[in-house]
Amino acid sequence: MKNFLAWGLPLMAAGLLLAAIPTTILPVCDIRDGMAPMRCHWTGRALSGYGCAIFVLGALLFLGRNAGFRLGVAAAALVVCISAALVPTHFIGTCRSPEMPCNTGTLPGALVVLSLAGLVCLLSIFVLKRRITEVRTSQ
Amino acid sequence: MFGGALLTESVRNGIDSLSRRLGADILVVPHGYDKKLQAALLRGEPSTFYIKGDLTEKIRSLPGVQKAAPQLYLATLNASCCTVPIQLIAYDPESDFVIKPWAASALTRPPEDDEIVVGSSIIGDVGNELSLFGQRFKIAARLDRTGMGFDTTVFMTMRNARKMLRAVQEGAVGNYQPGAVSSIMLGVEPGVDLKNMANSILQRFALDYNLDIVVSKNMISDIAKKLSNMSYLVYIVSGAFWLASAGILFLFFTLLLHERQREFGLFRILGATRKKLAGIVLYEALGVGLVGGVAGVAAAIGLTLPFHKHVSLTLGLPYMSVSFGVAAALGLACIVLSIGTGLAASLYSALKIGAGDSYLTLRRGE
Repeated sequence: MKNFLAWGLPLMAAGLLLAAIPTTILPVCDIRDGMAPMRCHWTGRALSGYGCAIFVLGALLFLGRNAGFRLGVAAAALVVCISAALVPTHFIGTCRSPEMPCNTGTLPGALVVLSLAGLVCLLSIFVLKRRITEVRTSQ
Repeated sequence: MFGGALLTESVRNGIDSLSRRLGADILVVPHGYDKKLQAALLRGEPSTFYIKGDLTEKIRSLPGVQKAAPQLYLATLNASCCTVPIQLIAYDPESDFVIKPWAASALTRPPEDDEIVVGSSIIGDVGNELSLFGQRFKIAARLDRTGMGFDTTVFMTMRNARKMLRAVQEGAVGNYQPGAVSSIMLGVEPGVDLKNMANSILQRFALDYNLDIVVSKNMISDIAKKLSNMSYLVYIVSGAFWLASAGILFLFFTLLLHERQREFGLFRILGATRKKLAGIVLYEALGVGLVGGVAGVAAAIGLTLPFHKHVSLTLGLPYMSVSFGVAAALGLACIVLSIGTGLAASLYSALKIGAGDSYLTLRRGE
């Protein structure tokens, strides 16, 4: 708990995973010739973008020195994780058929990664907030 | 362990579901399409294939054949949703004994003209219309989940299917000839040897009709064998992890005893009995086992539940998730095992603690 540097690393890993899931690890449905891309195609692109954002925030959490700065980054990362989770579930969505690859693989994969990332953010916020309070109390 | 147990039990459920619903003893299909039929039944992979329809009556008249029901298999695009082909199975309500019994749980009367019955994973509510080969059909009922290919299948009567195919452009459904069927499901009389019956059918009709035979008992036992192999692998890997965990826990408690010698020495000097000290160690082991077990079960749920569909499609085996009661029982068993492992691993330390002179123990810990 003392070394907060480590908290940024899981977040960076989550960001990389989230960026890779829709394209490589658990890809969304293929675009078929002559057909318009399906919803899951756009969801996949959005998730990849969010993954990059979470990676950057994780790097800031890792590199930051000031506890207050890190607290702000962790809170921002939490908001980004929640927003990213709403993309496949509400904002854009996935295909209607539950058998499609986007529903069997991409969606659960993204939600699991985002849940874990969100948990890391919450823990970071809790620990950093306590640290700031301790510093203020000791002054 | 919990994840592995959930997986194997779900596949076992799927196989039980398959063997309950298959009904037929023998399935007659065109030559080379036995694997496609199995893929359609197990995984709902759509296929279209035909044999001449007059074979049904010829087989029905064979000695030893109790029931013979034709079915028509067509692969179609579900235009109301994503572009994934779905399987359409047409059956004869008069002679069918495979689909009708369990379809009756959802629809107590035969489907009317332009009505279809859909599997649990087909998009659309009862009363909605579905477009198949450019024609609209009303969903009359939705079947319960089966864990096999029927979940992504649309069922209609043979009459409706043939009416639909008459209106379809030539070539759109392969080389369909009026009256053709895709497979014939056979029920044989009790005591009839299935292998002999299969050979008899092949000898009489294979040349003229170009047939293959699938004995459903063999198909199910093949699948059950795959499940056994998978179960062995899961149990071996789980066992290896469990042994490793038990070893690590043993080391942990041994080191713990070593590190806390001063603390335990003080307790002894203050009057704590050896039994009391052993109780402290065992109580801590109980806590570690409980927390570890709960965390492990929660992690397994977090990983297996979201991906259960993906796993079932990847395995290519019938898959039906276990009930909450069974899952809870498995979870509880895993937690109890975890607690037992923790207690067993700490037993040596608990027995050794407090042995020897208290003062020396205290000094050793400084």
